[in-house]
This record gives sequence, structure tokens and C-alpha cells, in this order.
Amino acid sequence: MRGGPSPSPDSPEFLSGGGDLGARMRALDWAATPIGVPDSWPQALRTAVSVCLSSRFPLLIWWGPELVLLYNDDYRSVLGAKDATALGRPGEQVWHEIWDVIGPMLEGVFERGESTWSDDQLLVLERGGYVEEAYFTFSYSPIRDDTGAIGGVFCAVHETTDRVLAERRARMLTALAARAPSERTAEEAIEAALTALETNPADVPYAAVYGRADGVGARLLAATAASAAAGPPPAGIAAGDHAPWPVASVLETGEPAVAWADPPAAAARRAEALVLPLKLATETTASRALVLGVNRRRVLDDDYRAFFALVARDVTTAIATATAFEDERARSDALVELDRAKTDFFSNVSHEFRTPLTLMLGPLEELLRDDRIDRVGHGQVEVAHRNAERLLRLVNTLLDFSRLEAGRASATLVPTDVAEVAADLASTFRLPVEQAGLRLAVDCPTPGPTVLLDRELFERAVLNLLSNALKFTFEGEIRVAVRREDDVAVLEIGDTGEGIAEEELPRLFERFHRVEGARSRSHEGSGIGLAVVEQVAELHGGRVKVRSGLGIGTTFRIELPLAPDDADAAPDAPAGRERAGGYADEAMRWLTVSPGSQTGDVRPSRPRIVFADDNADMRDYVGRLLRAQFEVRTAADGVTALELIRAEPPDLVLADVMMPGLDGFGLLDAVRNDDLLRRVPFVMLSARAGGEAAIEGLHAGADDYVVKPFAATELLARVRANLELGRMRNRLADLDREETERMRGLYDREHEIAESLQRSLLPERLPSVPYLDLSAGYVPAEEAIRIGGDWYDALALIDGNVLLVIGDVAGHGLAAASVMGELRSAARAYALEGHRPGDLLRRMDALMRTTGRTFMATCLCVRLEPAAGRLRYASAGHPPALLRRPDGTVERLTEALAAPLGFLSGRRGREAEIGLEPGSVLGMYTDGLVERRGESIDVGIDALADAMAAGADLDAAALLTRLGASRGLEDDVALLVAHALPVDGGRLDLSLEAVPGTLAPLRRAVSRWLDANGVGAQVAYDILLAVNESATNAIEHAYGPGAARFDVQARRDGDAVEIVVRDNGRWRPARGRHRGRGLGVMRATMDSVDVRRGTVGSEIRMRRLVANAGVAS
Amino acid sequence: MSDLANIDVVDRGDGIVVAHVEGDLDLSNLHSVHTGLLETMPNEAFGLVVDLAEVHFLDSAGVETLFRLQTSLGVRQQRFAVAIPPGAPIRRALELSGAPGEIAICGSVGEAVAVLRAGAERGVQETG
Repeated sequence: MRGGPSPSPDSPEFLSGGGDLGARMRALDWAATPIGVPDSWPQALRTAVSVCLSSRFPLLIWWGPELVLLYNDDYRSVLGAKDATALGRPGEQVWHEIWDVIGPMLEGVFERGESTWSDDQLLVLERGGYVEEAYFTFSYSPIRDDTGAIGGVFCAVHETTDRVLAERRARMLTALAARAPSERTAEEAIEAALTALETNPADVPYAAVYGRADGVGARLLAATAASAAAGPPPAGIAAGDHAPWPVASVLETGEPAVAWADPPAAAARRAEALVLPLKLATETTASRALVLGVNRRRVLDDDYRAFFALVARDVTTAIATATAFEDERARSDALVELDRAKTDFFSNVSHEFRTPLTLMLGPLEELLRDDRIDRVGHGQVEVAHRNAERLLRLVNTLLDFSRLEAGRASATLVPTDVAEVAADLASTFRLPVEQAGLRLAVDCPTPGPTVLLDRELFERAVLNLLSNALKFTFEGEIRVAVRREDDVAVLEIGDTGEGIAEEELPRLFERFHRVEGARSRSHEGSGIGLAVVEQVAELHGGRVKVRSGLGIGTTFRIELPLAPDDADAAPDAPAGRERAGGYADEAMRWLTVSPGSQTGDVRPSRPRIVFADDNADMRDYVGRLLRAQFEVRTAADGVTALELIRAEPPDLVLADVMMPGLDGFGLLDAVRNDDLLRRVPFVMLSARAGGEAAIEGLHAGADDYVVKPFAATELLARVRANLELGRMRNRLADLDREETERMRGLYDREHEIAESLQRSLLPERLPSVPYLDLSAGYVPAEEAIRIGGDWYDALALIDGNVLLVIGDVAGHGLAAASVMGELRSAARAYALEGHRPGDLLRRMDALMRTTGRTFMATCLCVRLEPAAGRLRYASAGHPPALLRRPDGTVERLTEALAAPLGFLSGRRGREAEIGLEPGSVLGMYTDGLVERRGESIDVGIDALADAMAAGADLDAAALLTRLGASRGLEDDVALLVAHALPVDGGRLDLSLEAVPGTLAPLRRAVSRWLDANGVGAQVAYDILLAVNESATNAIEHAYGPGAARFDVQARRDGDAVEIVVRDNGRWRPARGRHRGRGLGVMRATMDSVDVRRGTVGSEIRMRRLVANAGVAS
Repeated sequence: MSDLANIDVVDRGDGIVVAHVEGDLDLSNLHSVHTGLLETMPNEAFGLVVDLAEVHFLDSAGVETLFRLQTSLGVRQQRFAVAIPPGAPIRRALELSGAPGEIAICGSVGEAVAVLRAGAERGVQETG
């Protein structure tokens, strides 16, 4: 600094004061400057210098033809390093780099005497040792000298660089965010992001995205059109290579790194670019990195770095969103493919089976009739014929069933005499029935009732029942009876067999359900016979019933509607007898095969199977089934089975789950952990029904899972399929595993994305609002494989009211979660715009339909207006909110109900209003809380109503516990509870977030409390001003990272009101010229104000007499 | 523009702009009101009247907004006055914050316009 702090003795009065610059002006050797010594200055310059020095605003005077600089302290920040030499020097020397811009402007002021005004003018300065981009708002006004001519220019200037940069960057980030969600692949997302970056070449001169290369280092994925001064981005950057950018090391460390433009020794080191990792949430380490060029005219300061960090975050989000889309599409493509393959397989197999079987049966029948065949040959042909017929029957049954199941059965209904058909079919069973030592009682008087029948289907049903009766009956009789009862034809088939336990009866007609443990003549059967019977009855417009008792026998009763009177019964078709023959022949065979006999040869060339089961009957039965085609070794427990398997690895292992010692899972584990055995197909066999057991088995690594009871054909088919799988697996061993893992990985990733999406959609914290106590609970479904579509949100509105929204998107997974996200964002945006519930839902519905979403979503919006003592609500197909009144009664809010979002509704936009007294409790929930399998939803809602009625103080967590829903149920559960707190004249106790937006709600709360205390309007306004000022202080102190809070307490103390405002921020001196008036306002409006400031937190305690409001102010 | 307050700007075409403010002025909209009003002020206008008749609450932060507005306009050599009906409760905040004497406070928009006009005629030498 030139010049000292003490004024020169001869300095004129107008140079007095003025801080540092004042001192320097007094000390400067003005004689050496173009404008000479101060004593020679005209009065206008003296006045201007005096104004300049006394101002706190950055001011500058250009004086004389050379435009010599005179300025005040606040102007120094504009000059930067130039300040050291600028005072008293000609303008063009000081500001040579911008003279081309400001020179003509100054000239204009001199020539025309006009003022100028420049807003955010770009000036490229060299004030800090480098060329710098800076922005200023300034005005030039002429200063007339004593002769009236223009002697100089007065300049008021304000640097706006920070604001201009911040706005420019915010615009680009908006453009970046706006582009992100529509891209469908990571490549597209990156391209779009780079295009957005190109809109701001000033802050991002160039950009490039690199990906992890297969080996080490990085390869270029995309780059902006503009490139670095050093040239276009290289296609690859090797590990350890830092030129042109340290991309490889950023991918390695996951930390951002700067590429420097100057060598380390340079005094002011300039950044060339910043390299940032782009790490997706699903990645453990970043697989991509973003290179962002740095504006050479700006320093890479904290703001600039923060901006780049936001850019990297947005690009990452765009890639993540696109990747999620890609994965979802790949997954659904794979599922569609799988489904198509299954359908193809089924129709192909059935076709392939039926054709050759039919072609076999013809020649075999010919042979049976051929006299030239000897007796031995005849016997063998008979075996072949019988089995071919049986196979055809099984295939037909399966196909019939699937046809019936799909509702595509094209029944040919013909008027038929039921008694005739039944008697005929029964007679074909006479031989096997009598052979079994039973009696066959047929009571079918003809002509019997006429019914419209599909002959083939009806016969199949009756034969099923007859063969069942024979299978389970060991003594007594089998009865077949047909009669007419009122307007139905009744066919009854009864037996005196084992009977069926009562608890089994409800499941009897279920597909694949077989009565466990019942004694029977044969274990064969598909388990779908009775299901076919029921479906056939239904197809004819009738029904089937069963009566049974253990040890008494079973009677099936088919009721069919009568044919119209004029229908004549068609003559019996011979085809029926042939079909019946097949069933009866098979029944005959049961009677001759002794249990436990081992058929089938042992040939080493056939596939080898190890079968483990602790049940001897099962070992015999399954062993017999399998030995026809395979070489089978059996074991009674897991340990023995493992020994057999290790001694000679088989082609397939079939094992029961429940076994003593080593069970099925243990055996599976041992096999899978043995390198030599791990590829052996493993099929689990278990009586444990239900999908979860199968999933458990498959998760444990089993290749297939067969649930007992099973059809022989089913077991054989699975065994064969798995043998084929084993063969394929050996061939494609590694390829196959890779594929499986890829599919599993995709599923896991989608699940993870959807889950984190859902978590992020629920508010982390509910807003705190005066006179309302909000609580919420969200319990994911117990079986967390799926992601539910439940969501809720709570918004404190600027008018002091609160908006609560709860909704449920039908469907699960990523797609449903993204619909939730859209709805939530829309609800927030519309609510902040001030839309009311009815209107809000109307807009959300419109949004849902314009985006072409095919989802169904319910939603309930409630706007709580505690100050007005009411609430408004509207529902889109959502279960009703419950309102508990202070007297304990609970009411359902059922008005203003329109269709779910996404469906047209004439009632859309309606809204209802209801009083909200203090002490009331509002409950909003999703259907998971009130829906139970087999129960009406009303039962669940009543249960919630009862729980709410039980106590006024129950919050969401307490209610969930009461309803037993605090742990996972079948479906996701969301519950949102709002307590309208009573406003008593006693105490007001608020805890508020320290943000400016809480001031208005606070004023409303205090004003309401003062009103409740009978404080007059004028005094109340004074107190309100004081509370507002102290809260403003608390909010300003609390500024900083994190969400700070402050407390406001008010209480009545006799004739006075006492108010305490506490914060935990650090006291800061008042900022700005006009701040710091708050305390003055408090002192002026309150009788006493006591301020205590600690190192952390301060407390303001204020009192005001209110008893006699009229006099007080 | 701002959350709590709505601003309706009328350019009278005679060099004076009148901004009618409705709502509350506090810390939450200090910046938005300030920049909002500055943005709507054309360069040619010589004065701004802020009409606070429909403002129900004004605290010291709101007063600061008015001071800042006056300073910013001063840099642009534009003049400034506020209009508040006599007896309005928010006058109290202005008084307590020491605004009278520093800011031209008038009882109505008409009065404020007249004050700005008179100032413009006198004020050629005054500024500088």
C-alpha cells in the first residue's frame, strides 16, 4: 500500500475519510498524474470524489480526457490485482483488455451527455493473473465540470458473475434433466445427455463419456461435437495413462480427478478438465466416467465443481433409467419366448403322441384277428395293444382336460337316453367287477330321462367314476342307477369301498388332487379324473355331488337338466362300447398284477436312475414304473443313496424330500457340491403341496420337482425330460449355466431397482404442521418377492393446510413402481399449484390416460384445513378414509367417489367436505390392511374402525400393531393417520423446520392461539410481529447444511402472554444494511424481550400484557 | 413469482409503474419479490409505486425488501414510493422498522404518483 493511514497535512477536506482509498488518495503524488494536484481540481470533480469516497456502493470516476481512475474501497474487488497500480492512471492503461467494449461507451457519454445502463455485461478481464470471464451491471452518467462541459463519467457498478453463471448452469441442468427419462438404451441416454451439455459451451466446452474396456483402461463411448484444444478424444485410454485425461484411474479409484492444463510447477495452475465417475446404484464400481472440459476463463472453484457433480449425477440417473428400461424389456421378451415355447411344446407333443398311437392300434387289432398268429405271439400283441390304448387314453384325458380348462371344448350335444348309456357302460364293467368278488347292481329302467349329451365326454366321465369305484372297493357292491327327479336326470354311481374322509371332500374335484394313503388296487391315474367329471357335468349345465363316509363307501351323483320335450333320443353309437372296453380291460389288468413284482429287464445301456424313498410301497411302485425303461437302483435313505450315486454316478437322481438321516435337500446339497456329480439331473419328490415347497426345492438347486400324488405319466415325462436335460447339460455345460445366471441376474436387478424406487417414493419424514399430528406406516408384503404399488405422501401447503394422498397401483414390479412415481410427482406439482382434491384427481386421471398407461390405480386425496376446522376429500376408487370424532364414533368418508384413475368417470372432479373438530383422527390406508382372503373388505374396514375407536391417541404404528399388521401380510400395507390436535387456551408448543416457508403456517397457528385466548386484534398483531421476527432470526441462524428446527412455545401467564423461541443455530451478526431491525421490532411490540445466546442455540423470551388490550398498544 | 404474494404490475405509460402486491411479505419471498419487481421495471420508466393495500402481513424482512428495491432502483436512477392506506395494520411494521423518512410512504397510489412526479421535476440536480 502506498500512503499511510494518517492524512497528509495539506490534503483538502473533500479527500477526508473514505477508508483505504481515501488514505491512498491523500498520499498519492497527483502532480505526476494527468489530472494534476487536488487543489487544481474543478468543483464538480471534488464533489464527485467526496460522494464516491463516502459511498458503500462500488463507485468509480473517470476524469479528464485521459479518463483517469478515481474509485472507492468497494470498487477494489472489481479491480482485483490491478488495484495496486490503478489509482490516478489513465483508463485505457488500466482496462486495456476491455477498452474495445467500454471505450466507445465512455466516448458516447462524453460526446452526447447521455447516461448508459448495462445489465450483466460480459467483460473479459485480466485481474487475477489470467484471462477471466466476468459479468457486471453498471451505469455511466456524465459529470459536468464548472463550465458546464462534460469533465468526467460517474460509474456505479455491481459484479453479477456469480448470478449469471448460476443461472446459466441451472438452465443447462434443467435441459439435461428434461431429456433424461425418454431414452430407452444407455447409449441413447448418453447421446441425449451430451446434446444437452452442448447447449452450454461456456461452462462445458467439451465432454466425453468413457466406459471400462474389456482388458484394462477405458474406451470412448461418446463425445460432444466440440473437442479439447489438444484435439479429439482418443478412442482408448490405457490404464496408468493420464493424458489427455486420467480416465482409467478414475474408473479404478471411483474418485473424481482433475486434468491440469499447466505443469505442477506453474504458479496459478489451471484445470483443463474434470473427470467424474458415473456409478449406477446397481454397480459396485463405476463402469463409466465422464470427462468435462473446464472453461479456461474460469477457475475450477467449489461452485464449478458442485455444478459438475450435478451434471455427473444427472447423466448417471439418465443411464440408470435407460438401463432399467433395457432390462425390463429383455426380461419380458424372455418370458414371452418361454411361454410360446411351452405352448408349442404341449401342442406338438400331444399331436406327436396321438398320431403314432392311432397308427399302432390299427395294425395291432389286425394282428389280434389274424388266425396265423400263434398263442405266444397273440399274447405279446395283446400286451402291446392294451398299453397303446392306455397311452392314448391318458393323452386324450390330458387333452380333454386342457380343452375343457381353456373353455374351448366344442361339445356336440345330442338328445340321449341317459339310462340306456349308463346301463350299457356298466355292463362292460360287469366282468372285472365280478372277477374282483364284487356285485354290480344296475338300476337303469328304460326308457329313462332324455338329456342333451356330448356322448364322448359323458361316457368318459361315467367310466372315470366306474373305474374309481372299482379301484377303491374291496368288498360289497357297485351300484349304477339312473332316474328322474323333478326336472333333472340323476345318475348315481355308488360303492361300498374305503370311503373318503370328510376333510378331503372339498378338494376332491381339484385338479391333480389325490386322496393320500387310501387303499386302492392301483396307483395309476392322472389325478385329474374327478376334475374332468366335474367339468363335464358343468359343460352340460349340470353338477356333480359326492356323499361319502370312511368305511361306508362313496356315492357320486351327477345331475343333468332334461332335454326339451320334443327331442328324440338318438340311437346308441357303437364307439362308446369300444372306449368302455379300454377302461374295463385296464381294470382287469389291476386285478392280475401282483404288487411288488419287478418287471423290466436290467440292461446296462439304458439310462441309470437312483431312486431314494423311505416308503417301501413307493419304492416298489415307482421302481416298477421306471424299470420299464430305465435301470433303477433304490435306496431307503439319503446316505445309502449317496453311496450308490458315488459308487457309480447315475444319469438321474430321484429323491423324496422326507427321509430319515440325510433328507432330500441334504442329498441334493451333497450331489451339487461334488464336482463329479454336480451336473447329474436331480428331481425332488414330495407330498408337500404348494408353490412355496417347489420354489424351495428349485432354489436349493433341484432340476425339477414332482408333487405327490403324481400321475405315472407325469413322473415318467419329467424323468425323461430331465435325462434329456442332463445330456444337454453335459454338452453345453458352461454355456447353459451362464445363461441361467444371466436370467436370474436380470430378475434380481429389476427387483432391486423397483424396491429402491418404491422406498424413494415414500416420504422420509412427514411435515410438521401446527395443530396436526401426522404419522404413517408402511409394511411390505411378507413374501417380498414382489414390489407392491402402495404409496402415500403428505405435503404442507403454503396456506397452512396439509394435503394427504394415498394410492395403490395395481400390478407389481418396475412398471408399477414407475407409475407410482409419476402419480406422486403429479400430485405434488398439482397440489403446490393450489389444486383441491377433486381437481387434483381429475388432473392425475388425465395424465394417466394421456400417457397411455394401462394400469389401474386407486387414489384418495384429503386436504386437511385445521384452521378452518374442516377437511375436503375426493377418492378415485380407493377404500374410504375413516374419521374418528372426539366422541369416539368412527365414520366412513364415502362421498365424492369416482372410478379408479385411468378409467372414465362421470363423477371425476367431485369433492366432499366434512367438519374436522379438534380431537378428531383421520385414517387413510391401502387395501392390504383391510383385505383378507375369504373375508369381505367390510370386515377389515370395521376392524380398523374398531381399532381407531379404541383410543384417540393411537398413531399409525399403534394401529398397525393392534390390527396385527405390523409384520408383513399377504399384500403391502400403507397407513396414514392424522390427529387434529385440540387448541386449548393453555399452551402452544410447536417444533418447526427452520426454513422460510414455515413462517406463514406459524403465524396462522399463533394467531389462532391468541384468538383462543381472547387477545384483541391490535395486540395480537403486535405479538404476531414479534413472534415472526424471532422466528425469522432462528431461521437465518440455522442456515447451513442439514435440516435444522426451532421451537416456539406460548403460554398464558395471568394477564400476560409469554412466548419463547429457541433455536440451535449459531448467532450471526445482522447482514445487509437494513437487517437487524428484528430485535427493534420485538422490543417495540413486547413489554419485555430477553435474549440469551449460547455457543449453540439462542433463546428469545418475550412477554406482553394482554388483559386490557385496548390500552396496551 | 412468489409463494405468499401475488404481484400485478400496471405500466401507466407516463413513466410510472404501479405494482399491486397481494398477500404476505416475509423472509420466504424476500428475494422473489425483489427480483420480480425489478424485472418488470422498464428502463424508460422513472418511478415505481408499490401498492401494499392488499398486503396483510409485513415484517422486517418485508421492509428490507422495500429498502433493497429503493437502492437497486437508485442505481438505475429510478424513483420509488409505497402506498399504504392510513390505519392499515402493516404500517406498524414499517414504523417500527424505521422506514418513514427513508422511504416515501403515501396513503394511496394517487398520492404516491404525485409525489414521484414532483420529485422528478425537482430531482434533476438532486441525483448525481
